[in-house]
Amino acid sequence: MNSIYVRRKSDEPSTVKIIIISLVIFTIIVFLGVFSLMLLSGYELKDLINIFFDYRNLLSPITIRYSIVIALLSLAFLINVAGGFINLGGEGLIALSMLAFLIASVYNLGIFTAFVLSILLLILWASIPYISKVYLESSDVLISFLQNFIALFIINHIVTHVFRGELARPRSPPIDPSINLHYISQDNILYNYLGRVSIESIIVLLVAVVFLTYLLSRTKIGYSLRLLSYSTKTASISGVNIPRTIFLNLLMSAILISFASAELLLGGERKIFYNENAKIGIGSMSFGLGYVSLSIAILSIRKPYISLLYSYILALGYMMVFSSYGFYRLILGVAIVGLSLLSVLLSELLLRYEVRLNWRLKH
Amino acid sequence: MAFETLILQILSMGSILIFGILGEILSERSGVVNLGIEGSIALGAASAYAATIYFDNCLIGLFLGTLSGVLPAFLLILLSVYLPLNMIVVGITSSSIFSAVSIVIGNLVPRLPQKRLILSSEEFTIYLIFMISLMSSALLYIVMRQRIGLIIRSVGEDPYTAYSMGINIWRIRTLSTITSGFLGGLVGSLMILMPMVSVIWREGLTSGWGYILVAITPASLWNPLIGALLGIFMGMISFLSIAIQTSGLIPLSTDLASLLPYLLAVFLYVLIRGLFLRKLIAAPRALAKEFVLEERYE
Repeated sequence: MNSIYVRRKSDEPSTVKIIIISLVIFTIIVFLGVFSLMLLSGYELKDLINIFFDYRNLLSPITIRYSIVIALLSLAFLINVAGGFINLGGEGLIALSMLAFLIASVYNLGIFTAFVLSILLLILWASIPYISKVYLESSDVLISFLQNFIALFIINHIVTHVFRGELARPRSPPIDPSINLHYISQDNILYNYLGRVSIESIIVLLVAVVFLTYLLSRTKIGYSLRLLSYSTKTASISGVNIPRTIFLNLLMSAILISFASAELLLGGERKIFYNENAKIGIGSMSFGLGYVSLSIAILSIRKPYISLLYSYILALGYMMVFSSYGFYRLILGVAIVGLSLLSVLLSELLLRYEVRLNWRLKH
Repeated sequence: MAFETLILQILSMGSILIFGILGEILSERSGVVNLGIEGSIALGAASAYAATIYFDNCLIGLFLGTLSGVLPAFLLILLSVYLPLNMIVVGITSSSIFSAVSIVIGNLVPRLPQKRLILSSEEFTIYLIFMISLMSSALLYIVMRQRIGLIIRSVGEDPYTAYSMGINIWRIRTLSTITSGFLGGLVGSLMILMPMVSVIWREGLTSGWGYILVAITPASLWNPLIGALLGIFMGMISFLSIAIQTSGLIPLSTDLASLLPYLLAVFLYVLIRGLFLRKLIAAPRALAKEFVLEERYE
């Protein structure tokens, strides 16, 4: 007789255990998956090894820059997940935030107004799936996911017909130099590591990690969020102010997403590009970071500081994508999202469930 | 665009979508939200394209494309039916992985315009497939009212009670998800082989249609006959946007026209499921809920 035994563990796994198991699973799943796909596509094994085991990527400023962007995004989604909102609309939210910076640039509104505009836009956009879930019992995952396509097509329309920078190609005009973040100067000793990331993003990230760790475990807001994620009815009976909790949740995540988007837009080419067919993943302006960040958020829900480690690992994964080219880059960009989500799911399974498989012959 | 051509295109796209909606209705009736159908469609399209080019026969392409749609469903079955992992996240995972696999498969053969599935004429093929899709809806409607349909519905409503009555939950959910995967593969294959729908295969050709199908399924109230009407309606929307642009009646950019199906899917989903559904008919109560017993034997 074949039997499968599944039981949810009652105790919470330790931080060390979470780190070790998820690191091992991520390494196995992502590397094996990527290796097989690339080899099937005709990639040379020698080139593949050169890309994957390039030690220069470990502390390169680009790896650190993407680690910080992913960490900011994962903390933003972590707040959402803590409040019971599985937000798969990250790609669309990043694009909309970039749009807010573009509008502020076109009308000379300044960096502060750009952030305010971005936060307001993101709160409004993300409130659709969240409110639908809380009050109408709709699937937040599905609605937020479909919103990505809607947002990306709207952005495409805007950069083609409303704020078109060049006549030859549909893309936005460059963001005005007055809208900028502050970077470490080249004289500084840290420039070789942190030269590509803004000081504001580093500070916001460090504050957010400490603040969220405290907020989610020790405060009444954290308690309200957990109750809301458990059940709207329970939260309501327990005296939780549901609209206020939803607003605070969306506000905090919108601030973090705005900083991540600013980092991507203002630290990069400072233009919004046309995204043909509203591709999600490597073809988009945010490289599919909206998805991978959610997977980190789900895994580090109880311990926000763990998201820093996962973000760094995923940034290394992204360095693989950026090191490859053309057709291979496309495959990797699509695969890395699914593979990283799969690694998160399997880590969840191993950490929180007891699964035993007994294979015996039938008598 | 000629009116007759528009009607034929709507019927082509409509019949393709009907198959997808039927697959999703079947799996959702048993409590499984098959978001991996996006992966089934992508893989089905790429496999059908590669097989048609390789064997120079579109019937073999259709068969292999349909068959390949089962692979993403297997991942969902393993992780969410037999193991207790969130089926929404597993569905998206499965879709992402198999979309990447579909890019690999689609690029294994040279980029050539492949043959279309044309039996005696384009019109005849479209009408035939449309009739088959309508008959499938009617068949599923009848099946859901038989004993097997009752079993499937009971698994989707209350798996624990069904289990105590001796029904094998995992087997029923596995069968319905596999069928959904098959139909997803068929959708992908037809998207590439059906006359008047698409041209040469490219990456992201089927992008997003699987998720749209999942989003609009609740609007069918899980009734295969309403599902058929919904399929035709969505087919109409997808081609109407193109017709509006080409006719120049409404000044709508390509991008705004392209977002119409997504916008409509969200609108229908929120409106039907959230506002009307609770008063009209209840969704399967165990929808998207994993079934976990402390210990089980098979």
